[in-house]
Amino acid sequence: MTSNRFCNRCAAVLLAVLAGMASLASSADVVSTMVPFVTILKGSTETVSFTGTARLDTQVILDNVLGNAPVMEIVVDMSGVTGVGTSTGSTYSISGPAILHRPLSANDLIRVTFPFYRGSDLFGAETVEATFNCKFDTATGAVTAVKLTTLKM
Amino acid sequence: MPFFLDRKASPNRVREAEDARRNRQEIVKALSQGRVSRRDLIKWGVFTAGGMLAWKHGLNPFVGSAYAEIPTGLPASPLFGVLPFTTPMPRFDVLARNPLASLTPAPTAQANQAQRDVPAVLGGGTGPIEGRPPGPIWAHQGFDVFPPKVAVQATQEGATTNGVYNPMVPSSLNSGIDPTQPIPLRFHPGLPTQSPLAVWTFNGTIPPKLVMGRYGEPILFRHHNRLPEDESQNGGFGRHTISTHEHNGHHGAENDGFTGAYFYPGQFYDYHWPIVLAGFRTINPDATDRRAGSPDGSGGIVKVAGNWRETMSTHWFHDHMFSFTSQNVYKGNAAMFNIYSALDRGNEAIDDGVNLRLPSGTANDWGNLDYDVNLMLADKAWDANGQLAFDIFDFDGFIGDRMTVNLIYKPYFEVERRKYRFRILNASVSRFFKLALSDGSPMIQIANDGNLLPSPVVLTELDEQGIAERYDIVIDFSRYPVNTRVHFVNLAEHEDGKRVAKDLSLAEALSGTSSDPCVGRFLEFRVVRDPAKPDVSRVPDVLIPNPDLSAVPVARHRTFEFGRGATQTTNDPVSAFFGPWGIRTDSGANTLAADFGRVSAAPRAGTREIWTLVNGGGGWDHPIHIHFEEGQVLARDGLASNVPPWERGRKDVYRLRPGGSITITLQFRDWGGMFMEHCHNTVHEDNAMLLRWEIDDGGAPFLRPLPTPIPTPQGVTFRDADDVLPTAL
Repeated sequence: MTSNRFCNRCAAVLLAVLAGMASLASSADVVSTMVPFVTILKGSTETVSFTGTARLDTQVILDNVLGNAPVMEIVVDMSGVTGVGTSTGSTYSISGPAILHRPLSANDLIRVTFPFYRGSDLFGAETVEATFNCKFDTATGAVTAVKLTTLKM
Repeated sequence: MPFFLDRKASPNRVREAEDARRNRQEIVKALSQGRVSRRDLIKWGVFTAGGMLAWKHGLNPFVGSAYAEIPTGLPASPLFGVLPFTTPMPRFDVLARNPLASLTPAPTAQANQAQRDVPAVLGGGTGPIEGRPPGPIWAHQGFDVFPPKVAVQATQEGATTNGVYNPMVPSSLNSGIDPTQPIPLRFHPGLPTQSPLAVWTFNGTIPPKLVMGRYGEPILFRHHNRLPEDESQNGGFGRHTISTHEHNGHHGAENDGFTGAYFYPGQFYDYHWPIVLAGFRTINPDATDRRAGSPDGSGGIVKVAGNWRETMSTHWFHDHMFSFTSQNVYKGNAAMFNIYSALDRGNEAIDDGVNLRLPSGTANDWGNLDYDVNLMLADKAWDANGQLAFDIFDFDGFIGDRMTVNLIYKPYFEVERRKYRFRILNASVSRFFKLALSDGSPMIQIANDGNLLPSPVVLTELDEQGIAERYDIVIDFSRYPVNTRVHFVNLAEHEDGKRVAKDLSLAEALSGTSSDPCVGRFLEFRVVRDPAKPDVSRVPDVLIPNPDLSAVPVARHRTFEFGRGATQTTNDPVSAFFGPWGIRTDSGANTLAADFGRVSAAPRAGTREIWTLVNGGGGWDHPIHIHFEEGQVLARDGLASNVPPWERGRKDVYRLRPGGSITITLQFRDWGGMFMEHCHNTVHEDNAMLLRWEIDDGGAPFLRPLPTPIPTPQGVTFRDADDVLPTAL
């Protein structure tokens, strides 16, 4: 990370495991994995407690024409996560989603940043980095295990 | 597999790669000069029928090297000791707006057929001074209703020094650049000056050009072709015939830059850009709604007819020469066009209940550029002499190894501690970008393609940005103390021109470990001072809601599948082109290669349709551009919930994503003629992922189908359409 990053290594948190939590999404090729998201971030004006569920939609995309290596499309959706300011009780949102294309791999560290903000104060948005340490079933794209950590930037 | 050789590659390997590139350049040159055809090369075994460069040592860069069992790659573009972030990024060069009377000859509704002597190298004899196809079908539609009020002229010519730079902002807001000093055409002061054959830009100069227009004030854009008369004088790539596409103008087809309506050196082409709100014939026809308006020059609004929800903002214009778009745009035929309106007037202070007051400035009634900055991102490559180079590995795409912003290699840009709007254009040939700030700070996306979103979206990493897409974002630099330096970072790593190989995390992109030289920091923002005046700009919660189409019945559903293995069912030597890429329309029997004489779809004027664009494979991505009408995205991969917030406005370029599909709805109104739909990875477009569709029942004098123009220096002739797909009409 760069020296001018506002690196506030406050609240690395959690978690979790997930065997059995993956469920098929509406498209047969897309697998949705719900990841519990519980973290406390020290914002510039107050500490915010986030709870909810992050959703990882993963899909293996094959190249049946040229025979190149498959690619994994990963959509990280944080709309199921909300925060509450511990001082003001204000509601915070996390914007997104993040849409990524990465080479298919049995293990991948998915690091994405998201803005979080109070109410509709877009200009007051701050940044959280979420790291999903994932194990994948490379045949189906399903997440077989994931550990989530967060970092306030 | 890296596209470009690592800078630590052995001298022998670099030499081998240079030899290979030289061999390929001969092929590119022969193709660009028309000395050989693609069919010839396939016949000779240089290209495979699938469109790949044959796996011959010295031709295909992915053939094993003589020095190791690894690909030869391309030699890196030399930097001549230049370091990143050591020269300022110039603002765009604003083209002068002149009275119509300044044009000689005066513009005419039908193409001016006054004759001139045609040089011998172009066949001799005489030909028309204007390259626009003649006659009533190609006459300017609405020329009497929307007569041009402003004249803008530009030439297309070889590189020269700019002595008349007009950034429309003081030097203090242009990183200290003195506009009175001559600007040689080079990508950095430490890099060689480009030769007139290497780079062909508007007026032959840099910075890139900007046209400023407003609703209710039609523009006559006269484009003079001053490229070399001799087709072979092209520096090895580029075609001297051009057709200028105002991307995504809502204009008649005669002003759209149709791929087959190109014009020759020595000719001009008058493009009439009426700048109307779509739906002007039926929605708000009496111009009573203040939101449908234009700045009047003195703080008020001139009301115009049409739907205010169709207001557009950030356009660009570029060459669309059939089969040569990639080479010509890469060579410099790309500029931007800001359209101002009552809603988006480029003045952040006027508080009239309509103006959105987006970051811009206050000095002028409209079009303040102080804090409204056009950015043209493009990857380039150059040869050992520092001259712009273009290479065809295969027909999957071309990516460069040097990032430029406004045609300057990795520049810096000075900013004040306040909000700025950036109109970001991806002007690459095949490269996608994915942008973030180096400290991970949030940005607010306010527009996608030419259109303000219904609501702003705050993001720390923008979505992948395909070729030709425009993302308008707002960055608030007040969060930084003076003397901070923060960078734009590209997260999208390419290995070839087919698609993004890997979207990197910010940390990965900043680590310097990517094999793609265009990953990482590419533009440095230097926070230099507090603003002299308070920042009164805003980003409201509501920008421009979408037009409500629920009451407009859907006349047709069409499907277009973009894939490989195209067949060519026609063989017109001018309008048909063979290539591996193609489009299958409405589940037809074949994926067809391009022929601008073929009509693939002909929606009825005044109707609405739903089009599904399907990626026929998982090994590539395609940013698909549909001319003329903006669409609303209804679904991705069949689901409305898959449409991200920044795609919920109107768009004109649709990234399919690998193996993906996108469903859109669009109307067909106001103007008629022949338009296009194509992949904006322009290597794909040129090889032959392009089709013609048309609106030909808009009233007299239209025919059905329209005759196809066939330009020559001696004049444009017409042929009947050589194919009309059974599902077109």
